Amino acid sequence: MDAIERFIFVVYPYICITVFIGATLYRFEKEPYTWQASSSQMMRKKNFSWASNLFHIGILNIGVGHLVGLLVPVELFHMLHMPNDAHQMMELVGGSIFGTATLVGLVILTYRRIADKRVRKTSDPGDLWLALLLLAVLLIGLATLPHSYKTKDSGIYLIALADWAQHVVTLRPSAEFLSEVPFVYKAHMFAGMTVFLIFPFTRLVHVCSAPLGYALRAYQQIVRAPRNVSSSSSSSSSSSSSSENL
Amino acid sequence: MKVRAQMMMVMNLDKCIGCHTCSVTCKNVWTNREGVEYTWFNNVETKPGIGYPKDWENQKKWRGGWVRSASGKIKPRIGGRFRVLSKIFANPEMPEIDDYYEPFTYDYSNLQDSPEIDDVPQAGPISLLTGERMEKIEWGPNWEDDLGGEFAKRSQDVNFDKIEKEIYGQFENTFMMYLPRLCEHCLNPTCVTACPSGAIYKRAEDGIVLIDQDKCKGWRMCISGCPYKKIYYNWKTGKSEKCIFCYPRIETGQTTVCAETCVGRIRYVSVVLYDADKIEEAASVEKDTDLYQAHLDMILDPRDPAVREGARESGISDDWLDAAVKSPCYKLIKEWKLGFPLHPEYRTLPMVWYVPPLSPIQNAAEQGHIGFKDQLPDLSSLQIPVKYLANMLTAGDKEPIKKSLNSLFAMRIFMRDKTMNGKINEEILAEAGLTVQQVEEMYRYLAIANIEDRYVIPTTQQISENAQEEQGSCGITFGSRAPSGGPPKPQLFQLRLNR
Repeated sequence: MDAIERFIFVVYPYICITVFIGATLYRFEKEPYTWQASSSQMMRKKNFSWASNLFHIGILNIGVGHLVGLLVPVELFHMLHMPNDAHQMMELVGGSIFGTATLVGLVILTYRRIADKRVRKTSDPGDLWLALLLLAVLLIGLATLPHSYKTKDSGIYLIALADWAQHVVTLRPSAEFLSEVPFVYKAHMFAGMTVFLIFPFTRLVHVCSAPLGYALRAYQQIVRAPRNVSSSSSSSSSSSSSSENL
Repeated sequence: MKVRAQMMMVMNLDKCIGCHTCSVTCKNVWTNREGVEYTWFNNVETKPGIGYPKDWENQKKWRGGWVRSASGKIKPRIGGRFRVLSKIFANPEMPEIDDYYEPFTYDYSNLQDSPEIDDVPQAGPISLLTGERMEKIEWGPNWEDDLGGEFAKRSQDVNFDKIEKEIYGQFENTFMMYLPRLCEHCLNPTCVTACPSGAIYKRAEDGIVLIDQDKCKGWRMCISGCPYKKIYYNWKTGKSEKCIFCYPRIETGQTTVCAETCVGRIRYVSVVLYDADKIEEAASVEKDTDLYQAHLDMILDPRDPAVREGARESGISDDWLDAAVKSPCYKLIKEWKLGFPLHPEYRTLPMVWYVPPLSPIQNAAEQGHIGFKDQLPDLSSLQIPVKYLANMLTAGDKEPIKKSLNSLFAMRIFMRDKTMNGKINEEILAEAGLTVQQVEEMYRYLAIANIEDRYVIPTTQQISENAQEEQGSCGITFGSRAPSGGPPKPQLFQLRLNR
């Protein structure tokens, strides 16, 4: 058991991180045509709008929550006069609200993908497996909430998990931080890391292309000059693309 | 003044016979693939009708194009940047596949494989989405062809705005016309603005609007942004696609497939020059009815020395300037003012224009005479209401439409008098404000419509210096991108694109 645990919490994280970053970059650079959100909205609008919104808003908030909860050093929370119990409470409340939102959205979307013939036949089989994996991660994650509630005054599990994660990202991995942590957390962590492992090979990559820059873009015309400009024409048109404010 | 060249199209609706050859040849060339079965880069609608996709002209529903705010600025009708981003998870203004139609084929094999039965075996429809037999086809890309369907549904057409439409449901008052549609390659395209990825762009050299398939991430905002609903979502690739104005043909001096195969010779394709500095000003004029004139004013005279100088500064070659001088589109829309943009009130400054169709004089037999004002017919007695055409082509302003129709009538009457009676009828020309020379040129372009007069297309300036080396190195592939040489690479991701 120890050997398996050591593999999962010491070696596996690095496998996942390496594949996650490497394959994502490779795909972004080499296979941009395969990189898209793969929306199935066009096939059926019924029940799509609110389910998709619940799911996306929920999962993005959960993602940010995990990032902050796991990677921000506990000392920083103390400096901000946030004791461990408040920290733990944030996790509980945020996790419950956004976890439920994600769950409701994901269940509807998955049901739609299976039950709606048009959506099922026009989607990739991988999309369904991905939805089921996310559902599993989410359910196990929600199952940790009672344990977190039990330790809401000390937040010891949360701190142990954060310690583990911070040691992984600073290249000092150790499974010992997790010795006291209940099994359900570990199951959630394993499933969660697997999401990162398969991330580059799925439609999940579209989160990397979240068009936040659009909020700052002018209502512009995007004009592209010809690509192979002969040497006789003006040098100013050698840039491949330019934008003009409308 | 910033002079730019635009490849544009004008269609003479008077000669459209609604044969759909343009649509079929376009489909066979560009959208005969899985994922875009429902897509018609070019389609022909029978008007009045709600069109394809259903009710596309109803911008209260689809929110395409631009709106002018009280401050005089224009912004996309789907909303500003933050509304667009907030709707990215689910776009409420996006049509569903049923708004187009569920694409289908027929079970042809049943005609041969059917066991012996009492009835003739049928080739029933099979959905191209689910692969299953469809019980009943409820809608198609051209369901309203030649006034198919009941008037109550067709009369939802928004071009009936401010028209007492009930009388047009009566048999003796029925009218119809064809409207072939493709991407408008607008000067002020909302699709470009709406694209969160910045994947849609307008080519500087010829104004063709294209979607970078590598940059498109499938956020689907362009589909809502375009008021003409001429961007389509490919469900197989998860990317948007649109009419590419057959740019590989245009670059080599050939016309588009839809124009090349047009049986009625209704299409004109050529270059016009316009002032890119005036885009915002023209698209933001206060009254919708002023948009046509503002748009027309942007089109520059290629004979004007100042324009020619400006064009050379922008890198427009002499070939293109010559082509702009010979441009049939310029003559039709600017010199003779016969053509109009489709729905200028969307404020996208579209560049596919239409010459309105003539129609019979209504109730002529009943009245015992044809309604004439002097020699020209009374336009208010036309079978197709002028107001209907105006709602479609000039945001409701009847005067420019009347002038165009009068010119077309005058040309017909003049030429009939000339060829049948050998008479030069100068009075009718005075009535329409035309000269003999103009009318004869109009006749040459509109009635004879020789191929060299309809298509004046210069080749693209930058031709690769290594054309011979590149031969055979780029083509249709199954990989992510066209290879820079050698066979297509195997693809690592999303294997479904390989199937």
